Amino acid sequence: MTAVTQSEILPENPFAADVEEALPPPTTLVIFGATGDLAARKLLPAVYNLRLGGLLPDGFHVIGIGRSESGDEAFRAHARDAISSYSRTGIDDDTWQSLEPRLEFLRGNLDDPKLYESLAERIAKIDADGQRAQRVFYLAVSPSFFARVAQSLSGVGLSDESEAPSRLMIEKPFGRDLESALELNTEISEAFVESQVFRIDHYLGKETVQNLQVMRFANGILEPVWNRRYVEHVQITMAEDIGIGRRAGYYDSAGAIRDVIQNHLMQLLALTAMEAPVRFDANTLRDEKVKLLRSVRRYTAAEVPDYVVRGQYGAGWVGGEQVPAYVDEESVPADSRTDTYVAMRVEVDNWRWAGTPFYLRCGKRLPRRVTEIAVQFRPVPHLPFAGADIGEVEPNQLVLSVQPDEGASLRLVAKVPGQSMNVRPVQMEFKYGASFLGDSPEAYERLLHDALMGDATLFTRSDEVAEEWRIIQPILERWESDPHGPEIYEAGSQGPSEADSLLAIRGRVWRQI
Amino acid sequence: MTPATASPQGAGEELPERTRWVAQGVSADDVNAELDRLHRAAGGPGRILALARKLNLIVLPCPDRCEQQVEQALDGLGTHTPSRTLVLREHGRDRIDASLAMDCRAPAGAGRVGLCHDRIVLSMDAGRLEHAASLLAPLLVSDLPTVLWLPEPRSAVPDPRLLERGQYVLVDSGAGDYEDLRRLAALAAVIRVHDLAWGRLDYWRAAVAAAFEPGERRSLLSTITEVELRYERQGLQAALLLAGWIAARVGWQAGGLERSNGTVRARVHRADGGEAGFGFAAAECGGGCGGVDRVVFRSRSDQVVVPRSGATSSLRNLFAEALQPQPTFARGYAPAVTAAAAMLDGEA
Repeated sequence: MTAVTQSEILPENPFAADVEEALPPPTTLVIFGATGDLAARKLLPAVYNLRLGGLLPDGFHVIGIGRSESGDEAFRAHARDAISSYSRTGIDDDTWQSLEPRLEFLRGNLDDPKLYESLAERIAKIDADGQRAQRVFYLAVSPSFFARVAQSLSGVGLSDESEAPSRLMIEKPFGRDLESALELNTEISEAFVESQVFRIDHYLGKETVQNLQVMRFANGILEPVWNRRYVEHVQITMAEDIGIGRRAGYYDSAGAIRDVIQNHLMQLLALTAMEAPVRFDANTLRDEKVKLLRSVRRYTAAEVPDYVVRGQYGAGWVGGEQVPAYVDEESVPADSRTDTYVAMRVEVDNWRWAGTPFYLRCGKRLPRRVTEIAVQFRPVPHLPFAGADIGEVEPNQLVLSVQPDEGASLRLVAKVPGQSMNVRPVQMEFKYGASFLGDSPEAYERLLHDALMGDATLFTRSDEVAEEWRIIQPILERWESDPHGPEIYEAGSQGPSEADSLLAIRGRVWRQI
Repeated sequence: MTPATASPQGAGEELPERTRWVAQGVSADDVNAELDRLHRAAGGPGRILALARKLNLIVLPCPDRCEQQVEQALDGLGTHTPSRTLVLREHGRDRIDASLAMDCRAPAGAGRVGLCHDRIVLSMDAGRLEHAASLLAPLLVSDLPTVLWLPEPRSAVPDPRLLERGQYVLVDSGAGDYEDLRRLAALAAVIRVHDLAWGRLDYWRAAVAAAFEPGERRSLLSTITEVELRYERQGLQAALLLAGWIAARVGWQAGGLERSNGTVRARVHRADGGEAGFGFAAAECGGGCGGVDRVVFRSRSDQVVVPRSGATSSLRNLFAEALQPQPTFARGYAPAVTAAAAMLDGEA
């Protein structure tokens, strides 16, 4: 006898075909840390803008959880202030009024089992008033609570999916080294299965990062030259002009390597270098990223100094303002050896990329904020314009700019108009703002909507996280035992001079920040 | 040909600046030559200007009363969709008059590139308008999508060959009367139609689809006997379009529209031979609702309510969205407007 599945019995939804942006099913979104900074700056504005865009279902509720002496009214006032301050669209009274009654607050201590019992009761009450809603738990709290909260939710049956989906959203950092990351994965997996866990790397929610896939795999002219035969090297940069602000507590124990390289830049590397996925779905895409991360060469501790450079910003000038050295920032120990700049050469040992290095760099207090992927193509094998000084014949370069100006540019060489054969580089530019309408949604809007829709494509899977840590772990171990600290670079400069040496073969130079 | 003016206005770094040229009794060659001259004259030492054009936009003639609306829309065009804009107008003289304007946004600051786009207003007699496609062909920028904008949905396209030139027609059925849906159904049979009213219904299509996503709700669909649509009092068009879409998606054959005592009903025939109906009731939704306030699907045993949920389209620039060449904007429109027109055709 052939088993008949539910989808074979039920008719298809006849209305779904003509819908551009589908609405999620009824949802109860629970935000742990609802009165914290992340909720104020990103999550509550994201919820509001999804509401404004008509992208939330009628059955939608938010339960904010925090330790403050708040009730529903105080939480709603807090949410309104946060949305007014941080929403990219400001705040519109009609939309706010439709959202406000859907916000509730539950006060409690994350260590207290009664909190989770109260939460389960509150959710059951919402369900009793309408359709059984899916649950999405967003952990905007310290990573030290991730496992505890996940297990407590499971303890009161809130991870159960027998009637409707239940999802757990967590933010980086996912561990602080390989061992702690594996441990966290194990602890969470005891409460939620992998398909329920949505790990946010907000870079993956950025339009340009998503566009990287479209640029590579929907344009026939790029993929044939996207390999070691035509690409000389690739530079992936995430530079910030700001310092650490008030994040010293976290940043001084993490450094740039944990804060940026292990997650954002490893993700950009994987998306730039991976093979074409058969389908753009969650597991197929993430399988390809994992394959690529597995082919990244692991350095031995002894090799690390040859491939990785770290720096720490000293005092200097940025944006016309004098700024202090890292060690003079509030709450940073005077003898801190934390890296605020990292540059590394990555070798991808696979058929496509063997011999073509990827240079990753990130840093704080650099001259300006820029995130980009620059693909430097090999020079032409022969110039037919011999015998004349024709000017700069620079190799082609494709630059995908992630921020602040989302877009792409291709450097070509063109003849300067006139009688003589002079050439110079010219740029073909594509700017998101110029070619598409309106503001791009904030990364958090996209990611929250995807999680509500159950689409994990833009979220990081546990094995990706583990592979990223496997690449980073030897570097951490070497630095811990290395008596030399990071090289000090002047704030507002291009970074430590050692980083230039890392690149200085075959005339390679960093793109200017 | 008599050039009336040729005056650059707002020299220097003024923002924006406009160069204009007006002439009477012109040919397409004259217009092209003058455009070429204007483009060359725009640049110069210390000024880097680029022509930015995403599409050819042909604005079809409309009565005097809508010209101001057209002007306003075109004035904002450069900020979101710089175009080669060709505005057709009718006049009583036996000649073609032209007015050319090049709008440039020249940002101050060394090395910054200014963007320019052009607008050409062509006025001609009715006889020439019937052959407008032959005049416009040499003025279209190659390899760009061509959009026909019908500012009044009830207006006729003066030259059917224009429909061969265009990739789609832009209209707003919400600006007209519900009777215009008949004309739009005929238009949608030959060319893609981007109807702003359809864009305003985005939320309602998504909400109806979401309401029938649970399996048990989908099973209910075959037993629906009545769909009640509360619509914004100002016009029935949006509700009719949504009703047409629902009917088309579930395979109902449209019957006729009936009016009595201020209520409107439409009969439909279900695939199983049974009858169902749409009931339309006017309501106030305070704007931003897309023309519809609530939809209720009723069977003998149950009902599915699709309420309005938050703002829908009030903050979107639908004109700009509809100008984009994505076919997704019009997905599902042709069968929906055809079914709506069939309800009108069967009106008792």
